[in-house]
Amino acid sequence: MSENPTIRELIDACRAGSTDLSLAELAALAREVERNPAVADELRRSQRLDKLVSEALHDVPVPAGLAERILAASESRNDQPEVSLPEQAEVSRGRFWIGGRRWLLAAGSLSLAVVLTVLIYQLGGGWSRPIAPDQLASDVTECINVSNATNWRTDGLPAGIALGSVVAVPRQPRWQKLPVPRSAGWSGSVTAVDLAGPGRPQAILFVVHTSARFSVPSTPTTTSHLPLTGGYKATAWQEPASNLLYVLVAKDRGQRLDVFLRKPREA
Amino acid sequence: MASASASRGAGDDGRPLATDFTSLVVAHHAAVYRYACRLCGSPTDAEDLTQQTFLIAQQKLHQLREPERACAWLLAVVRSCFLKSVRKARPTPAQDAELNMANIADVMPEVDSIDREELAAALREIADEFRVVVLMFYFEDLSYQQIAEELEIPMGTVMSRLSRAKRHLRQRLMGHERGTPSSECRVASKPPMDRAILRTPQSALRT
Repeated sequence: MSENPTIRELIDACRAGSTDLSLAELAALAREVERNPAVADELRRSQRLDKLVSEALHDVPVPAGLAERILAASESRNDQPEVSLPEQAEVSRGRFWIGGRRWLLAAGSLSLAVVLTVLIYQLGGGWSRPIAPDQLASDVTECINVSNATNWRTDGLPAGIALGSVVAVPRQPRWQKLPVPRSAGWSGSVTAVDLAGPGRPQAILFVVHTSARFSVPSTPTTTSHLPLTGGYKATAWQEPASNLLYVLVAKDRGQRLDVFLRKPREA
Repeated sequence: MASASASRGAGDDGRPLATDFTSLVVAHHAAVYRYACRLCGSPTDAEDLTQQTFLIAQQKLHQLREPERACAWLLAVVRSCFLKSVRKARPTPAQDAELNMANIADVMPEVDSIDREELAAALREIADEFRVVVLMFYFEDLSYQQIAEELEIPMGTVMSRLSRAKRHLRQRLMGHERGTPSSECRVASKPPMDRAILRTPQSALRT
């Protein structure tokens, strides 16, 4: 946040009918509203204009038949027939048919390319393109979906998982092992640890043992940067020297991630 | 349209109900289109963006865990699609210039109604990164904190962009001419128009 937001910025950031004035960042505005009638009046005028602007912005005529067109497009997408093998073969024969010595030449080149590819792969230690945050977010969503409310264990975290220096761990943390999502393009093991405890808005730390590399920071940040849908906040980081990936997910939009992190870095 | 209208129920393991795609379209296509229209500034682009949004929503419907948040989810998908298209079209320049609106003297008179055409025109004038922030505020009803998290930018940047965009709308609604400080403006002592938030000619040509 900027060092000194102006009173105008604070007024403009305050939503009508919300509890924004109770936010720490708007405390200065709340104080001014209390003691300065001019500021209170300006806030009222500003929020009145906000209401008018909001109403006007929502006043857009919707084209007739739009819903039907969306559904039709969806239907046609689903109904696209799969190309049958004979047709494919026909197309291949027609446009790309090669034969005789040229066929042998092509097959030889292909074999050579495969051998070279395998060789480069082995020498390079495998492809190491990092997995994108979008894919990780999708995998984490799958993990959330398969986590089971009745499978929590409280008999001490499994060996190899030491979280004390990473996150604030409850005295008797609940945890469960989860399968790696089928759609994931990586292998490893996933352990979910409930950092909030029963009866409170859940905050789950997924500890992933994997040799795969992910496009995430190497240290935790307080900004929710993993594009999870459904109102979740999530941050992920991967220690470069270990095979550990951490994903912290807060299930309530009002939760702050930094509450659970030991040494968060402001992003 | 089997898969389009298929729905999941609540499983024994407590998984949330999924949403029926057809119901999703029927219930929310208008809100999605309106948001798209304000983001794109053109009905044709808005319809394309709406179609694209629902195609993505159909593919990712399983990610929607709380059906009551379906509208908010769809609006986030619209925004995401729009931002992707904008980033593809041209790099987004950083617009974190120093503020030039330090006091409350930028006041406005009591307003009872606003010119909707003027509002639409003012909205089309401002650069994408400002328009997205101001529409997230008005359409998605997100706080500046939530906007900062969604866009992964600092809260101060959100406050600055929001305030400057709202100021531009106010000024246009109250008498400034397009992109120019008006000598005939009805409110005396107005600060000058913030030109830094206006769209460049190239970006204006895009829509």
